[in-house]
Amino acid sequence: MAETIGKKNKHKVRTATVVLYIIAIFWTFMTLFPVAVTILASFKSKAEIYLNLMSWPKEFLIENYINANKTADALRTITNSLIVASLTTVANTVVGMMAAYILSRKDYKFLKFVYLFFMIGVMVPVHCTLIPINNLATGLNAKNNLFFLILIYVAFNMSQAIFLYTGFMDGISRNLDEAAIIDGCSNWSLLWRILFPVCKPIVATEAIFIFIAGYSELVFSMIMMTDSKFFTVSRAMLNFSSTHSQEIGNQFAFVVMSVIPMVLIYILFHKQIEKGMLSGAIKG
Amino acid sequence: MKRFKKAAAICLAGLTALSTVGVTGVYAEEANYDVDNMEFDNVEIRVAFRYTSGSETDGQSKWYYEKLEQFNAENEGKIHVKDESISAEADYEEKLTTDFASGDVPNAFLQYGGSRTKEYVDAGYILDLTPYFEQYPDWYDGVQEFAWETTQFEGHEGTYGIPWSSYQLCLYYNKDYLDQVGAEVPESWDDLVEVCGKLKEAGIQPFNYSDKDNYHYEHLMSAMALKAYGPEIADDLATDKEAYNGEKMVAIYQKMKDMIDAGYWGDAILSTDFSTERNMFEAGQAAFTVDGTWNCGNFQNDSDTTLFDAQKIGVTRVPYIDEAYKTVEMGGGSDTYYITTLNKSEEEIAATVKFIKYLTNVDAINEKCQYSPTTYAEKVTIDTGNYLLDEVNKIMAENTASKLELPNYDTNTAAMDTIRNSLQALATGASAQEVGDDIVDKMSAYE
Amino acid sequence: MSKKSTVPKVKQKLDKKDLTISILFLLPAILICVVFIIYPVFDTFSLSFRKWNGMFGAVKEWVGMENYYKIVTDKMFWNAMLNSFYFMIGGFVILMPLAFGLALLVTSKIKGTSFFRTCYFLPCMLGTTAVALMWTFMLNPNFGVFHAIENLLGIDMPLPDVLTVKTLNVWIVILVNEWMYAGYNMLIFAAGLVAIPEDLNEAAALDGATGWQRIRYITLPLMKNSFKVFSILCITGCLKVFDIIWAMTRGGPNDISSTPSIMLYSQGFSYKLFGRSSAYGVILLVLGVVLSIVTNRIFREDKDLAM
Repeated sequence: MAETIGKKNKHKVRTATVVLYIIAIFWTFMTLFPVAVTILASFKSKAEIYLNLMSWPKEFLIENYINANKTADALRTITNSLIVASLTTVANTVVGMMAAYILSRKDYKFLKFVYLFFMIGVMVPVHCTLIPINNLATGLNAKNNLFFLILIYVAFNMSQAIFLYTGFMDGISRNLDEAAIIDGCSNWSLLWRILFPVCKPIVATEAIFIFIAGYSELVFSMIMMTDSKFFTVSRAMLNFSSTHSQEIGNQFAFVVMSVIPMVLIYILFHKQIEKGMLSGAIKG
Repeated sequence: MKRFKKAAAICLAGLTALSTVGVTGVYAEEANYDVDNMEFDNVEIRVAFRYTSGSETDGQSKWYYEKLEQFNAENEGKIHVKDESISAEADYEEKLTTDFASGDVPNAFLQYGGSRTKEYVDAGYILDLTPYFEQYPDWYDGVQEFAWETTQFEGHEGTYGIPWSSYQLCLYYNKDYLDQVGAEVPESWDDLVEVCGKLKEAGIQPFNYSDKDNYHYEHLMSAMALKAYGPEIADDLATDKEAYNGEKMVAIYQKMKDMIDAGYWGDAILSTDFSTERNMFEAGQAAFTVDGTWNCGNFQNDSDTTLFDAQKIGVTRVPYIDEAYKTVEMGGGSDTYYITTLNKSEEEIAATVKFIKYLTNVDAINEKCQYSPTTYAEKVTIDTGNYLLDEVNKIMAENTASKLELPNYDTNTAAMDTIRNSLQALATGASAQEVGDDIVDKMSAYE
Repeated sequence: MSKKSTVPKVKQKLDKKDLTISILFLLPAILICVVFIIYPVFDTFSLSFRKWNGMFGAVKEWVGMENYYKIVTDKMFWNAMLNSFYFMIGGFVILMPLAFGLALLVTSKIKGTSFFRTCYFLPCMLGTTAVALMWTFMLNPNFGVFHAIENLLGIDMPLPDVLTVKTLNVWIVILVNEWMYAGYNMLIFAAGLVAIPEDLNEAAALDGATGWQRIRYITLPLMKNSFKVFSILCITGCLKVFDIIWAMTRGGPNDISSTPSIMLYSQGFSYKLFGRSSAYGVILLVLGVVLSIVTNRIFREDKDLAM
């Protein structure tokens, strides 16, 4: 009897696995197909894209990449985006974790309102804040100031970060804290030495979100950064459409160029997280 | 001591008042408008236009950035111009609006006249160039008469800017296809309808007339109304003598709708943009395309130039609806430089005028035309060798009147956008009357 | 279990020193938010009762509730709200199951999860501009993917211009949006999933629980917080959705695919009616706060789900 159940289960498990693979591969196709179309388009001439988007390129135009590099000043804009995104991510993680720690671990009455206060950030439409923030930048003479831009990004990512961190920390048992507090651990080291490692999955996840947001934000970088020295990727993307023409092939080429560093970072980062997860310490 | 301070303050205020009056031109004889011979000491100005830096294909931008570098080199230590151009339209508008709201505006910017720019002029933030033109009559005379309309604003004396490009809506056709069906170049709207019928029968798509970037149908609507009712229709609409849902205008929308219903304008109207439309025309996928005179240069610079090189593209006027208005055209000055006075010092303003003059004198525009052959506001004296442009110049010389896009004359700032949006509904099955009512309805919401 | 309610709370020292430290920990975040979020929100609120053409130095004339009145009597506003509502439906009916399913998939024991995870996240890394550009091209009836399929099959039938048909175009954009953000939300769910103790699942498996049963009775309850996070982010995100629809249809044709955020933008930046634009902002903000509080309540009251 037990044996048949085992066999049945095994069989079931095998079909389940096959189904899983089918789904996994199906969605991989769904995501990779349009990406593949983009990559192919990045080697085509303008006319070929307009008239025959889905076809294999007649010849691979490397010059799309050369032109894109020139129009968008690729190396500089990608570097700028990387710098802005990295600094935003670090600042957001530190500041957000500190706030989340208090919100999750302390029992003061006023914290409820502080939480609500932070929540407002995910609900504000960006375009409402554009003119006030631009006034601020003008008043403080902070245009073309990288740190001011980063602060804006930190502010706009803060709500979601705090929201995710607090939610995750709430799920972690306070037994951990107890032991640490008995050992005479301060708030600071309790947060960074005990809780932070446990929160790695959510910190890493949110870090990726913040990084992407910072890397590709357009509105503020366009308004705040008027000097081409400070242009970011999405600002440079605007250079491909002008009054009477659109350099679509070059634009696709720049899309591919600008995504590559992000994919690399994502892969490296994710390797680290998975290592962290395997080494345990997550279990509450 | 306190009293002294107060007196000094009053004196100072008086002085500043005097100097501002000087700029606005009341004491014109006292002020100095000879910007070319002025001394500048490390003045930094910033300008925001719609050029694309680093572009290989956009001749105008290439020319501009070379000029900018030249100007900065020539004025080393005196004037430095920083460029803040954004080429994408909506984003450029967003920047300008934000800057004007904060009072931190570029020294010069680009607009197309009309109600959008009028608000800036009304607020008193735009420089009247009249005294500078008096100083440099050649500069003023270099511009063609019909192009000045973008610098004139109701209720304001003076010339608030200088146009550098001009345009006119034209009908471009594929000569081979017309020959193939034995058709003449259409002159009247009825001719056009007839030719489209013949083409369709022969299996040739007449147009892929797109309206994804919603300016296309509004341009043609303007041109058609002018060619049906004469140039007066512009004022009649602006002064509410004629309404956008009145009989006259609805008749125009109906003519457009008939073309759509007959399938003459293609079946992907709202998901095709101007760029795609042009490329499809160049690839022989349509017999006609309608757009501004800038297409002359574009046909020459696009990636597929076989049709252009074989001289198989023809250009003609937009067909007339009433023969009496055959030579009335939609067009005029287009891209226009405006200089701001908001929070700007006199020295900055003078330096900006110097730079703009540097960009818009006839020699400079001649050079620009070499880089990008199209129609300019200035009297271009060189021959670019572009056969379409020669043709267009011939046509334009015979114009009897020209007007800008009709919504430009409306005092309602939302006119342009609402009309453009509403006309898109023609392609989604709305009737001509519905479109007219929609325009009036939406505009009234923004009075 | 790691639930706050089931474990006796550690007595925290609620003395003055602790309070000071708590405030110091919160301060940087609060300061940044006050400057860049709260100040603009106040500004927006005050402007929503005024009329202003966006010109520096121009008077901001008090008009009371006029802006709000104009908005609620504008049928385009209700159309935009409906479109936002479609986005929310799409978020809960399509995106949530999809993202959760993908999260289960990439945290399951099949091989190559790393590869799958990267692929699924790729659309999100491309950025809205690129995604919108690519999909509008692919959906173009003249040269898009369906056209190519027709060519392949030798059919010659005119294709509908899907991005211009009322309601359908909004749903197309929603599908593209879900396609793009499936990987994003997958990561949120995955972060919750990996935090579930392995031994719980193993114990259940030993007891003969099937995969479905384990998901239903172990995973789902423990994932309550992730679902709450998703719900609130989804609701607020859909209310103010702008980028993807702007990039794909610009709210058109003729405004039929507009969302409140697009209305907010065009009222302000195209028509220079900054008072009305601000009133849109306030409406969105208030709606967001109310809906988030309601969502929070729903998740709190439903204690059973949390075991």
